[in-house]
Formats: sequence, C-alpha cells, structure tokens
Amino acid sequence: MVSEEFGKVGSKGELYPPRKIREALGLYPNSRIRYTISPKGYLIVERVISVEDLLVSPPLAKVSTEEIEKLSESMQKKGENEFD
Amino acid sequence: MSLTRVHIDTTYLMPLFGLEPSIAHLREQFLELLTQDRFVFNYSPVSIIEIKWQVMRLIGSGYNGDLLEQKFSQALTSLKEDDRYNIVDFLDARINDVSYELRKLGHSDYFDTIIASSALWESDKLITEDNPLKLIIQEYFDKNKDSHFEKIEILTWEEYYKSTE
Repeated sequence: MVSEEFGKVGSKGELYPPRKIREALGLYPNSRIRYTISPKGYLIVERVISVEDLLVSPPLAKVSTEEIEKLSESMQKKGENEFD
Repeated sequence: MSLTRVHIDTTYLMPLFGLEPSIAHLREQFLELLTQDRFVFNYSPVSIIEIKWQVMRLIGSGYNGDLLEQKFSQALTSLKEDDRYNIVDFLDARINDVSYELRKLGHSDYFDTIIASSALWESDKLITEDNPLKLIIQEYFDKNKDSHFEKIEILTWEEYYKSTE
C-alpha cells in the first residue's frame, strides 16, 4: 500500500506529517522517530518502538540461558575447528 | 545523582528481541527498573551476535522468520536510541587484553570473556547467570592482587533485582 500526502516545511524547518500519515505510522505526541536519508536521497521517517513497548509485547519464542550458552559455544568451536 | 553502570549478559537483552528466557518476572522487573532512572545498562555487541544465532536457529526450525527479523531490527533501533542502554565496543585492545587473561585462566568461551572484560572496564556490576564466568573473574582478582580494576559486583538477576529494592 502506498500512502501519499503533501505538506509544507514550516518556517523553522519543521516537518508535520499529515494526520493520515501519522495514523498509518502510529505516531502520537512524544513518539520517537528516526530520520534517515537513503543513498538515493529519499527521506525515510520511521517510528522507533520504545524499549518499554518491546518488553510488553508477547514473546515469539522461548529460549533458555543454557540454549544461548550452548549454541554460542558450538558456533565458536566451529570457528576454532576451521583451523584444524 | 550518578548512575550505576550495570553490564547485562545476553540473557537479559533477549526479551527485547522477542525471546523469552527462563527467568521468572524478568520483563516486569526490567520495566520497573527502567522507570527509576538510576541505572545505565551496558551490553556487548557479542550478545547481539549470540541472539542473532538463536534467531537463525529458530527460523531454521520453523519459526516465522519475518516476525523474528522484524523484531530483531526493532530491538536494534530501540537499543541504539535509548540513553538507558549503552553498547560497549569490543574492538578495543584493553578489552581484548583482559579477555585473553581470562582465557588463559581456563575460560575457553571467547564471547563470555569479552562480556566479562567489558564489565571490568566499563561497569560497576555484572549481571549474569553464568557461574563459571563468575568464578573465573574471582580467580582473576585473586591472581592479580595489584590489578588496576576495582572489584565489581557479580550478581544473578534475582540477586541484582533484590539489591535494588
């Protein structure tokens, strides 16, 4: 879906995304956003999800501390064995 | 008010990436600590690599890759943007030197020794569930009495959370 809206730059350089765009991106007062200029010169505006929002969102998978440790060690071992 | 610098091991970053570790109440307790503005949570890029490996393993075993990768990117941006979290670069000779000292003491896990070394240089506390890592740092202090490091507290999450009450 392409959402296109037009606006003007404010007298102090402010950019005000129109309501439709704000709603589509989930931008509310005090939302954090990230501006990026792409290599082709496009301005990308993204909402930054807060750490708090991430912590309350439902988990996608269970992974134990032991599993983290085990896989990390096995990946490192793989690297070491490359030199055998 | 000065902030306490707390180095968190990989496990405690996992909930941000949509992964649920086996530590009771971690999410709720972390949310509560974040409201207090008393701590800076340091972490190492090697923890992010460890999480990435888990994400790849999960995708390989049939989990929804689009969702996991979307969450992974969101978490990277959130961590970067949030002043309460601080990444400790490991491409640093000082961190490498201490990591090597810890490996010479018998701790073969390079990533663990990077996490420990980062904590020794940059933090007041290290939070980890990894008991062998805790023991090797204690041994490091025992064998290096004139080390230029202050002893740091090494706690499990449960111990740390209790200490903040």
